[in-house]
Amino acid sequence: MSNQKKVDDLENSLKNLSKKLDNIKANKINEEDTNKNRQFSGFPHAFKIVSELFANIIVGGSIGWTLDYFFDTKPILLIIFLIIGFISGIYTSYKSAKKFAK
Amino acid sequence: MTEKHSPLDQFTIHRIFEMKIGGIDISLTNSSLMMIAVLIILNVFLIYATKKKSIVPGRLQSLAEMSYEMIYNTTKDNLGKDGKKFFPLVYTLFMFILFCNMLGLIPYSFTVTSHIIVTFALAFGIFLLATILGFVLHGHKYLRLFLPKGVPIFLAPLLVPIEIVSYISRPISLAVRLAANMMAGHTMIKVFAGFVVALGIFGIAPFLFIVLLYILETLIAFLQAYVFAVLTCLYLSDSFHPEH
Repeated sequence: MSNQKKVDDLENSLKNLSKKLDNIKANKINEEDTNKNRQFSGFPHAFKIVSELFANIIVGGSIGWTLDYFFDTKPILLIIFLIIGFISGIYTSYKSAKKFAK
Repeated sequence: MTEKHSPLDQFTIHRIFEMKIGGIDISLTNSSLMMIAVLIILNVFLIYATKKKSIVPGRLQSLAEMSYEMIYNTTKDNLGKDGKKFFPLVYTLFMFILFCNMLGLIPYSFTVTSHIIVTFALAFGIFLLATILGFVLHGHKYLRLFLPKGVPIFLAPLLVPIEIVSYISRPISLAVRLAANMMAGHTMIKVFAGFVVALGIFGIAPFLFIVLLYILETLIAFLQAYVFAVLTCLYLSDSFHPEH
């Protein structure tokens, strides 16, 4: 009777111990994961924001120039689309900066 | 003589082996030769590194495993469980660009990724994939990307062109960033290399600077490949969830 109880107690404490160990392991793995990801996670976003700023202006300008070429309205559409490209560059980089801040 | 030593001379393309099929020039150039070399070295490296499959990895094997794990985690973080399907694509892109950048740093070799047409071809492929994927997954609702919900209708004439320009600029920004970074770095190294010759004995100063620049360039070569992979994931995740 008492022997059975002892065995049960031991088994219980063993289970508790393994649970604790699992918890500690899970925490450690999570910590390592977040640390690893933090190392380089800022760079891509920084490069993204900078290149978006001027890529939008290039695209806006080239759309305007092409439309001008086809409709023979030089240089009205070029100016309009350059401005749109500029606005869109700032808007996009603002959006991706906001996304990154989350 | 002076033209041969211009800092931009390293980016010129020569035909090594002339070939023409049906009027289309498909000559083997130094650029395509470098790409073939990159593919061969990349394949040999990965096959040789993973040949032993030891439990405690050696240097080469742990290099291969580290690159695999890093890109796997990036795709998993950015694309969720959908990302597993696109992991081979992202990993191939990353390794190809990384090897192009790194092998381009070897003197007398050629940097394929410094040409905007190469990077643009890669970026445009991703752009096409993301667009087609978006339309396949969401149908016409994918156009919601250009006019997010909750935006008043009178703002649409202003917002739609802005969003369209910003969508089209994605492959351009991907391509320009990689090409400009590689070209700027290599040009700068060549300019300082010119100073070494011109300054004679005092050339030791720019020489030391070049050593430091090379370290920076190695970092940038790695970083730009990584940035390209991460942004591929980000653009693909936009076609999974266009609402954001």
